[in-house]
Amino acid sequence: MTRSESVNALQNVDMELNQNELLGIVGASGSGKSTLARILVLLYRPTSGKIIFEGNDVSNLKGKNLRKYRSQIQMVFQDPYASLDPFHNVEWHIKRPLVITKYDGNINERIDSLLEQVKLTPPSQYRNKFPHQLSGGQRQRVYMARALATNPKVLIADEPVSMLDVSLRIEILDLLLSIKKSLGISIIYITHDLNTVSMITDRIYVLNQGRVVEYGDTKSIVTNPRDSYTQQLIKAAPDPYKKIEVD
Amino acid sequence: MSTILEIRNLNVGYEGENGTTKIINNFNLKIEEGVIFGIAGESGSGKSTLAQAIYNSLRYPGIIESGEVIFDGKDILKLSKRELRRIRAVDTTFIPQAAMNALNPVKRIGDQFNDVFEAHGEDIEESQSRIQSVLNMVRLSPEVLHSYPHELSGGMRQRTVIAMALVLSPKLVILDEPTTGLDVLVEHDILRDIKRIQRQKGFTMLVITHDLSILYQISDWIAMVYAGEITEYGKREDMLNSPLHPYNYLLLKSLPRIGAERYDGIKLIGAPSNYSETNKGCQFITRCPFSKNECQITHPELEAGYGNDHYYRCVRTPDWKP
Repeated sequence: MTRSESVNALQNVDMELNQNELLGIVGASGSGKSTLARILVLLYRPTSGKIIFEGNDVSNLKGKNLRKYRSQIQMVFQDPYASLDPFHNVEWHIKRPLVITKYDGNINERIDSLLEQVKLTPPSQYRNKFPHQLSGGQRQRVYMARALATNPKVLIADEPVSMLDVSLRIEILDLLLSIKKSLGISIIYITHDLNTVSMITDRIYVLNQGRVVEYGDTKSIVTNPRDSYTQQLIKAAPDPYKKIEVD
Repeated sequence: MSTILEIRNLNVGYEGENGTTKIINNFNLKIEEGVIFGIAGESGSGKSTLAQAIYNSLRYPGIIESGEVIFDGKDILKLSKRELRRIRAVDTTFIPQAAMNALNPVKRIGDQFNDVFEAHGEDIEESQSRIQSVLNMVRLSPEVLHSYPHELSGGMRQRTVIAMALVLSPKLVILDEPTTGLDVLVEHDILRDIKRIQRQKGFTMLVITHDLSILYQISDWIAMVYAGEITEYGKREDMLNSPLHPYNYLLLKSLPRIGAERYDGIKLIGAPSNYSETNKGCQFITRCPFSKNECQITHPELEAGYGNDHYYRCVRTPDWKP
């Protein structure tokens, strides 16, 4: 192997995100799903191909335009324990994007309304809390409020519930649904978990080794998967009622 | 069937500046030989502390305050270090959380197997056939013996750890979060393999995890732990089909499943919490949507359910059932 040899993490991926839809991107580890998320927010640049956002090619944006694009497409990560700064309180985390993007309204009111949006109510109870005083689910809500601060048109959530306790997962998934509905934005939900994807998404793309192997309406794919990889993922999805039998 | 492991009135805490914080409260459990017993708990339930206490491997500031862990007729908590070393890996073995990341990075897998034999005074030459047989069981090629841990995938390392734990044919195998951190497809395969091996060899397996779905998929018996106490336990089918405690009932309802109707009924409130000594009532009260005044007053004891072998800790059963 030579040093210059490169591996394609994603190959010939064609994907469309509609307005106000909840899109699932599903795959096992190494499928390229997180790489895709990072490309969408331009943390990585595609080696070839284009990202078209509202009719414009954004793949090569720089400087001011890049910042503007990123304020419209925000991301929530897997680990709510790592994504918040332990030395700052809730208010600071949500205020920062507002200051950076020069929010022209009343910042205090905006922070309160964002906290209400993610159902951390009453806001006054949470504004001065530090991350260690919050549960995993609450931290993920704070991070979501931060992501929503810039009024994004797209929210990308990369495994937002896999680190949370089982009993808290549903709440966060419900929150994604309610944000989609109340704000009219589009959400991309990236996960390996077909159980949760089947619960909240409208459409899904299944990725395997950097390629889209199947896509379409969520219900029809989970009930009638055509690709063998999708079938495997569905079979392996944990289900308490499906006892593992051995001979 | 005979009992292989019995936990009696176990109390465990962590020592801190303001005295001991209780984690496990008056824990009692009997496990029959040859079954897969699953213990489910969310964060703060004390499940990993429990596993370490059962194996008597809890370290300071963790303190076993009182209780007995009877394994094979002996109280594990009363054994000397030497006696413990003699039974570990031979009679009982513990695969802690993330054990696959604890393989020695600078030693080949084969040499790490040999360490196990050496530590227990087994002849290394004569034991090589046992390695071949356990590797075969966990579906690893003998080539891994020449590899270093970093050359193996996460799934292969977890299989290696399981093989090492089984090489001296223990009677009781304790697994803490056996598949956490593994890919979905790998997880499913490993769970099936673990269960197949357990059925073939007939040892007893104690699996501890936060993942209720996989626990229900592999276990014969299940105990749900909340804030250091068992809230409910029984045979897998009874626990699944007729939950007697709100915790088990609501968790099962709210697990998303492919093709299942979405549950929109009454939900759990709040977030998981630790054992609270100031709470004289039910430990689960802060999360229970069905609680009434009576729940604040009395601390519920484990009671036998309608059938045999199904126990629950709730004064409002069956009235809470919607």
